[in-house]
Amino acid sequence: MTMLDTVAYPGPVAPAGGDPDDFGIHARFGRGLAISPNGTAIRAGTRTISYTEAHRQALQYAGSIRRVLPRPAPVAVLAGRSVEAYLGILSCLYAGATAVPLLADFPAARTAEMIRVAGVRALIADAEGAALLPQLRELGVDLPVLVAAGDAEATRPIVTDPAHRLERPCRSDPQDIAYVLFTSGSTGTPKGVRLSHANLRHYFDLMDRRYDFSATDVFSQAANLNWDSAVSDLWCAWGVGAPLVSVLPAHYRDLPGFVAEHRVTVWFSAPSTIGLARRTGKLTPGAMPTLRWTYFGGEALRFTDTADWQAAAPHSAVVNVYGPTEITITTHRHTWSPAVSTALGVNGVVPLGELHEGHVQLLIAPGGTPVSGEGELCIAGPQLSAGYLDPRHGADRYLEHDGRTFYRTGDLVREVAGGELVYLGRVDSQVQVHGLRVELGELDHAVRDCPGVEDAVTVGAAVGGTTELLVFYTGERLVPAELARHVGRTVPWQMVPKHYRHVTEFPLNTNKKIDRLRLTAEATTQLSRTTVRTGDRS
Amino acid sequence: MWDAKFEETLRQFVPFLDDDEPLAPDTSLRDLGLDSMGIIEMMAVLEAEYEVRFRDDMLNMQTFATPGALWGGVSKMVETVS
Repeated sequence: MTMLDTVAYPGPVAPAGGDPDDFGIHARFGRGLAISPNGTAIRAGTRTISYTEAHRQALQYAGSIRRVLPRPAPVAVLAGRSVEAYLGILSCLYAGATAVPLLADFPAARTAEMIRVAGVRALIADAEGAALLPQLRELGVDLPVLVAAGDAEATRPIVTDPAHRLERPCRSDPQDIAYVLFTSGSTGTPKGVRLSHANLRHYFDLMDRRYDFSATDVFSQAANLNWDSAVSDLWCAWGVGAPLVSVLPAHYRDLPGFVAEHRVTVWFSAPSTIGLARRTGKLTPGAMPTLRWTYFGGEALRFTDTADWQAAAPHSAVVNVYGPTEITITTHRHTWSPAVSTALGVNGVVPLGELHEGHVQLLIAPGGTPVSGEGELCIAGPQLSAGYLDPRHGADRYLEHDGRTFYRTGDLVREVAGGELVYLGRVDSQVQVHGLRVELGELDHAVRDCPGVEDAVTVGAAVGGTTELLVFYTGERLVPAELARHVGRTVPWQMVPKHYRHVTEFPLNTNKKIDRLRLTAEATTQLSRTTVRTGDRS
Repeated sequence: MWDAKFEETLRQFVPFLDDDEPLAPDTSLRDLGLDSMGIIEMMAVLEAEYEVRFRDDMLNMQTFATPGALWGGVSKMVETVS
């Protein structure tokens, strides 16, 4: 265990724009640049770019964007996992703009909708993103585009030239919005969460104080760029001048091999990665000797999975992290220690842990009154995000108490010894699938929209260490592939249910409402019998 | 035509194909529910079962487009190995 190892504090973050009051999170890249000017900033596949090169390129893209958008505005980075995707995010922030990361493999209709609701004024595209431009144009999106890689026919290209290069990154105020990240919304409209530079500043200052990251570390970058843990990966690595190594789909066939080959020291992903590494037969004891820090977040982390990962990475601390995007990446953490963790945890799941310094938590009963012991978790403090793009999404999500504004997480927790929290379940119908937050209502909505379907109820069944989605529907009996194809027109493939069951009617509970609990139990029984990618085949 | 081991492996990763439905060589695997993580996992199983290794340039949707295309790729690798 290396938890108590310490290395020299990497030093204060010098303001990006040269102004002592500059809170811009992109100042962290400047600190990394000063530490490792010739070091690798980004590795994606066989391509790498150094801190010096990335800085120069981002200053150029930022300058080109500023010529088109003289005032800061949201800029979307439409990309896959290329060097340009990472440069795009850095460039947005260097331009003083809000970065809106959008994935090239999301349905075009959803991407167009997110562009519209975020008020995006320009795009930066890599080769994959550029290939989507004609489809987006058909959907009415015709914005200025900086095509950073690939050749696309942009009707409104942002020409970029070394002569545009800014002298230094633009400054940002604490309340300026650094990122907009989208999460699933129950009405079918994605919810855009706004994270300010001040929110992120608090999070990363805490990471700096708590961990011993340095330029000799190698950070993995597993999550998609639109996910909040990716925000953590980028700016933790760049803040210390360490290389950030993008984990591409092919690497998952031998993840421990990838970690060992690149001498990765810091890993952050959803826990479903553990099951995948096990099923590919590579999660063997001692397979990942270079790892020092492992972070798992986004869904329940099981004791058995944690122990297997720990055995494969004997020199790593394994940390369960928890927190909704709305409170900036994570707010709670618990470091795995077999005796303590299994004594505190319930249902075989590792505790969520202790609250980040500077925050206050409150448990409430269903009616909203504060309770002790067990209740819905509410959090207040400096990581509380600047709210949703659409204020209507914030209805019933916030609570005033003791002169503070709390965010209602929707997570049911129990307070255990030492003030740590353990996870009990949701108070609503949100589930986590492979680390992705999914509102079941959004899927019901998408299935109902399919011609022939009358009504639909989606449930999440806990099978094999993760959650599988199953849809019960009434109306015409349809081919599952057809239903999935229809849902996939608006819902990202990662969230499209794999299981569909036609029913003539839904079971009702005593209140004459659809009995979701019974359907969930039914789905769990059905899926436990199948072997389709539901977990541990070993 | 492919062997039973291949059919059994493939069926584990195509949730939209019922057990009693036949697996046709030219069906789109994507339409049967094979997604990119399913490809990775299936590849690891096939590599272990047939003692072969997919080259990085084979990791694309073409290789995994249909049962026929995939079996073609696997049998070619098996021949090269033996």
